Amino acid sequence: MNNVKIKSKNLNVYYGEKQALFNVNLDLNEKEVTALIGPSGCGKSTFIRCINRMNDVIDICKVSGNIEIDGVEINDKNLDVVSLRERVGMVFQKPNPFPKSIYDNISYGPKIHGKGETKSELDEIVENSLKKAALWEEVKDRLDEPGTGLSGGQQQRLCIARAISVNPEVILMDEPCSALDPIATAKIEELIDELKKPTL
Amino acid sequence: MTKEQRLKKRHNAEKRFRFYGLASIFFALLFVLILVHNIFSKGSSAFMKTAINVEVFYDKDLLELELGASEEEILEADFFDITIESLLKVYPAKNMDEEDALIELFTTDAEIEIKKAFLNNKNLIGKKINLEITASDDIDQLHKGNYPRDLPEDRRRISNFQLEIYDVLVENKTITKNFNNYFFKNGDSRDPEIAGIGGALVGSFYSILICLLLAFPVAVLASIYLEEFAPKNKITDFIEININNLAAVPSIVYGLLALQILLATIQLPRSTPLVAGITLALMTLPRIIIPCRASLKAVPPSIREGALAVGASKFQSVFHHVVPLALPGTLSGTIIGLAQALGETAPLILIGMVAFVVDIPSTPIDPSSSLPVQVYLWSESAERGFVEKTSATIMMLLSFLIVMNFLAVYLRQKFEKRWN
Amino acid sequence: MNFVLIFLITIFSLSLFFYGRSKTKSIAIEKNIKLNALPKFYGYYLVLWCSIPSLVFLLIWSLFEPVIIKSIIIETAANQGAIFNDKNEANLIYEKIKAIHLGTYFGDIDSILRESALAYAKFINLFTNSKVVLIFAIVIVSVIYSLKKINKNNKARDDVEIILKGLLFVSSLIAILTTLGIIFSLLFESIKFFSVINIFDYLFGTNWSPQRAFVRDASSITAAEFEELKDAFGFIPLIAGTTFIAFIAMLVAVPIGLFSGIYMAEYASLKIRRISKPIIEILAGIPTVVYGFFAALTVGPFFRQIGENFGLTVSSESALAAGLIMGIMIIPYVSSLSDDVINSVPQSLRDGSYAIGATKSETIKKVVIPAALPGIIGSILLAVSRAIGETMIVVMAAGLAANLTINPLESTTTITTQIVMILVGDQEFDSPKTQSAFALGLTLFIATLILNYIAQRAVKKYREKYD
Ligand SMILES: Nc1ncnc2c1ncn2[C@@H]1O[C@H](COP(=O)(O)OP(=O)(O)O)[C@@H](O)[C@H]1O
Ligand SMILES: [Mg+2]
Repeated sequence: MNNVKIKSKNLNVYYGEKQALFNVNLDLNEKEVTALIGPSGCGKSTFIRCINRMNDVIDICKVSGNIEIDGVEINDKNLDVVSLRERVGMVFQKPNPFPKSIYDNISYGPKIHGKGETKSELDEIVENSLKKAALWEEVKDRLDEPGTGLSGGQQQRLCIARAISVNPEVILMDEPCSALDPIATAKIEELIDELKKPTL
Repeated sequence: MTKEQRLKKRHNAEKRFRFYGLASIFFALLFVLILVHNIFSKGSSAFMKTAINVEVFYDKDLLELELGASEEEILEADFFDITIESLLKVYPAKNMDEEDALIELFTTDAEIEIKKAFLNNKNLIGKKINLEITASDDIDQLHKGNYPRDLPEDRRRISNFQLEIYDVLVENKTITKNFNNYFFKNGDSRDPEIAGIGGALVGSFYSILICLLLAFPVAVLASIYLEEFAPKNKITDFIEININNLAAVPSIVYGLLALQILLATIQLPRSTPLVAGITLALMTLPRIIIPCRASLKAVPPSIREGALAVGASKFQSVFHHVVPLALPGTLSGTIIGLAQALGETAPLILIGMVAFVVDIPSTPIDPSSSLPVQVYLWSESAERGFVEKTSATIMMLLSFLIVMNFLAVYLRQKFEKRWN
Repeated sequence: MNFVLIFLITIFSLSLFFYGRSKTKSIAIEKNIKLNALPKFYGYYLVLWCSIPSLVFLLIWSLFEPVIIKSIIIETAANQGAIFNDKNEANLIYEKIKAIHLGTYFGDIDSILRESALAYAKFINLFTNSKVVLIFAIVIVSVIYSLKKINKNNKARDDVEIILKGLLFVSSLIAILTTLGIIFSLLFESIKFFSVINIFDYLFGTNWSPQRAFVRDASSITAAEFEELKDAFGFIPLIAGTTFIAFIAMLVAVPIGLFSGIYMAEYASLKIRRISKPIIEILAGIPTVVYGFFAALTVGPFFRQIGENFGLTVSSESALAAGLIMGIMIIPYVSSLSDDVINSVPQSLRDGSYAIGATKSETIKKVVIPAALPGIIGSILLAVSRAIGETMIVVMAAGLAANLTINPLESTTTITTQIVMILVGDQEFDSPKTQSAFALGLTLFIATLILNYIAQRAVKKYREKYD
């Protein structure tokens, strides 16, 4: 049995007047893939967006209750969301690569967090992230081309690679395959399984 | 650099960036305030004029008029002598130079004012009456505190002797400040104290009226065509490209167009509101068409379909249902367009509205000025009095623009309510 | 006369409306047939046929009548032996003849003038009579035609709609006509100008002093005069001054406009946005003559005072004052457009950036702005085109002498200023000086057209990308 990584206690979320989550109490373990299932509109996205405080971006969204990661409360006003999100990455339902080159898409995170000081370090991070996202073989010759030019499945793997690039402890994925065909879906499911293994 | 230091640096950068944004907005607001304050502090004194109380004696012999003289005889009569007589009584002058200096304290139109008072009351012949005669521009500015009196005499337009008279007048309370009716009533003049924006107001009114009458119907019809009836083809595309480009053509180019086509080719009369109105209409047309089309587009298709479904023709569905709904938005766009036209100067300069026009135009084909052109003309004049007149004209212009814009916003808000 | 005609046509049309309406009703009852449209449409039909052809004819006639009469009269005067050397003198004589006809001429009247005035009266009479006759003929023909049509119970509604649709189409054609008018009027004089001044002398000359072109008649130019003129119309100082002032304006407008646009799109709460956006847009609504007044009377002297305190000579009409104020005027063009453009960047891109832990400003700088760049560049180009076409601020605050300078404290001149300076007051037509204003106008028109074209394409391309 793995340790508890994320713990939510009495979590309530409101969109304006409307309440979307009611008293959610849920423990999620380390080194595991946990899937939330439920009908559309039941609050899956709302819940996982709470874990890296992406709900801050929505003005009308109010969160009450507690979420702890490694025992630290993250709904704390004083917590720095920037470093929280560095630890808790996210992949969205619709692939959203930046309108930049594939290389810049991946190196963006490490650059802003000061993780790759030199060009060669960045190169290495880009290569490793793409390899982990099982995209390296397909794009290694065209790293300068825009990420928006890839196919849907490739774009989504690019977004996964982008999330991996800063070495997050947790990756949240919000229906990452809903916009993809079965073959691309299979590839990403395989990838998710790979990712739960501890990095060497 | 440690992780903490790095984070701190990033958060500082965030704060700085946010500050630049706020500072930019603040700067823009500050500028608006400075501009408005500057104009108001310079211009508000123009709404008052300085007058000096003078005892006028309508001497029968000097005027050579009898009791019961006809209007024509009075108009013919020479009031110059009694004017001088009356003005000289204000202060004892010792010699010719001093007399000239004394008379210089009054407007050059003093004789006309004395004549007008007589025309209003023809029984005054042989009688004395106290009149408030408008002071000259220099005294006006001095009395309003706009003129520095501590300059050495040779750098001042007012001599020491004149200052001496002025001080006595102030002491006797014979110098007063009244509402400046000349500013609204009179046309242009070389003398600031009697110059007014009456002509410019009428000129602007006619120009904008003509602009409205020409541009509004054409813009509405053209927008209806393009939004509702135009087939998707090359001609339609070409018309649209033309409208978008015309909206961005510098206004002075429209002045050149008017000069060549309206004045040189069709030979319409120069300097007139008619030409100004046509020029402004051509300029405003694309600027009205764009919002008109937007408000037609905003009418939901269900309205058109509803009308068509009960057997209305396309025309009836458009004119009975779509156009009335789009009307407030259309009007609001038109008012904004007219407000821009009202402030437009450059094309009007080219069609000769800079001509010096004293008379108030009575028809749109009389030579005339317009408010913004009057601002330009007066700002080129050296006299101190024109600075306040210019600023006051700007105040009038801005108040019209504010009213028009509020009207447009009001209409638009009413319009928006309908769809929610 | 025209008013009487218009009045008559209106009255006649109105009565035709009622006539047509009741006529068709009675026909329907009499012959017991079903009408193809409501009776009122037959009324409209008659009204349109009665008024439109005659009014269009009247309009065209009135546009051309004075021109034609003038040329005829000048010719008759010449045949009578009147002597005039150029167009101005011809105009003068024509005005005299007109004044004699109206009885408002008080000078000496010689036989030539008297004869011409008689001829003038004759022609005016002739033209007026023929106008009236022709208009009545047109009205009668079109009314007979349309009455015949409605007797046949035509589909009046369709016909009325076709005519009205034609009217709508014609209204939208006015945009094309205006463009043609602009191009025609600019080209017409420019071609004359470039037939005297070599286009390369114009484009690459470094000296602009049109006051030297005192030559009145361009067609009879002597070789010596030509040499004089050759380097009087050099465009370089003007384009240099124009771009210099526009550059200063953009130095003010781009950062302030962009930052306020970004702040309003990304940071401001709805409330602040609702207040600050209209206030910034006030800047675009203030007439430029007001800015010019402020720049010339307050900012210019203020800079000169500051300069004096630092021992610098600052001209009271400086490129700096004009450029600064122009920049402030342009702020809303940059801020509103970039606000719109930034707002249309999809939220998913921002979410992607936040999700890796980027701060808001990092997201804006590295993701939002690069994504919005074409649109932002488009809005800046539109602002540049505003700046180079702006007239009043530079006329009042930038100066008149064509200095080739890059010192912002000196005075410079611009294309628009020169157009105004050349054309203000009395103009001698047909002198290269006057024509040069049209050449400048043409240059300005082309430059703004190109800028707008590029800008609109950039914005459109960008819109398509995210729609
Ligand atoms: N931005 C928002 N504004 C208002 N209501 C929202 C917003 N996002 C989600 N909701 C509401 O919250 C509920 C949960 O939505 P969501 O978490 O997206 O569901 P799921 O991801 O399970 O389909 C839904 O009823 C939805 O209508
Ligand atoms: Mg969801």
